[in-house]
Amino acid sequence: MSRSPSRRELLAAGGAMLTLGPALAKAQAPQLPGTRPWFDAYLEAFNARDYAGFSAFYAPGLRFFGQAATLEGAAAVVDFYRKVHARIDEKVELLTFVSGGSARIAAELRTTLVAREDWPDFPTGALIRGQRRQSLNFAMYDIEDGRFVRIRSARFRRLDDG
Amino acid sequence: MAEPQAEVARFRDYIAAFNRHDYAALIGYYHPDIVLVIGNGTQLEGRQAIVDFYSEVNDATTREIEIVQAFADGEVLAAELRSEFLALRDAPDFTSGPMARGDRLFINSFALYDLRDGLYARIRAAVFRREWRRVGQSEAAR
Repeated sequence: MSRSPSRRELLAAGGAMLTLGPALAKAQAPQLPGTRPWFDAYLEAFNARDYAGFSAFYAPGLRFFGQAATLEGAAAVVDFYRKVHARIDEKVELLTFVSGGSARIAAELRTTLVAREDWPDFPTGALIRGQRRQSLNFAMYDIEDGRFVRIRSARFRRLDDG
Repeated sequence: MAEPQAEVARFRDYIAAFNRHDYAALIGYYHPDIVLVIGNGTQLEGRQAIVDFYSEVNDATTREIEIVQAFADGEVLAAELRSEFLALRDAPDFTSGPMARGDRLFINSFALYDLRDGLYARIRAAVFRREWRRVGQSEAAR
């Protein structure tokens, strides 16, 4: 025979639901283009070096204006990052997110680079193995049909160059 | 918290006040604890410091700001701005570099405005593109 749950058990179950709630909500939420969960998913794939995953956010004709390169086409951007990530560990953190609906996003990003080898002619300045470089950047993303068609990044501040 | 569209409309009024050098109006948009960090890293704290800074800049140059795009989510307003500076006299100490009378500087910047109590509490701008048009410089040379 089953017994009724005690008050303590009910409270514990409620706590568990509260803990699981955000994760479940994230997993089940429709990731509408231009929303924070959608952008989080993009950055998560980027930081995981999931090239197929993050390039799914790119329109074929993407125009990319980054700190280290100006590129045209999703394939060129993916190729660029494959080459960069072979020599540098890169992590991007979202500090500020502003949605302009489904057509545009503004983001404040903290980018951390750690050189895996010497790269004397790295576009934003020579790197030596083990060197860590961190910067704050403001980025603008234009979205069409649920994909980025233009990404532009402006350096706000270099945090260190140790 | 203002609606995003109302916030953008208010921002357009703010930029209009900026363009006509209406400093008394500008102060009304700033939180008392405002911090402003412009593209060259200059940091200004407090309403009066900002007004004093722009008064000095506008003494040597004219600056016209065009809003390329602006949008807000209630807590932060994001804007892409295109500024045109024209040197009214030689300005060797201009914040973005020396300017000779008649020189023009065009800057595209991305700016974030943090909102608190309906006022701008923190303004930060990063330069995306900078283009100089010097006096005597031909079209072909640009």
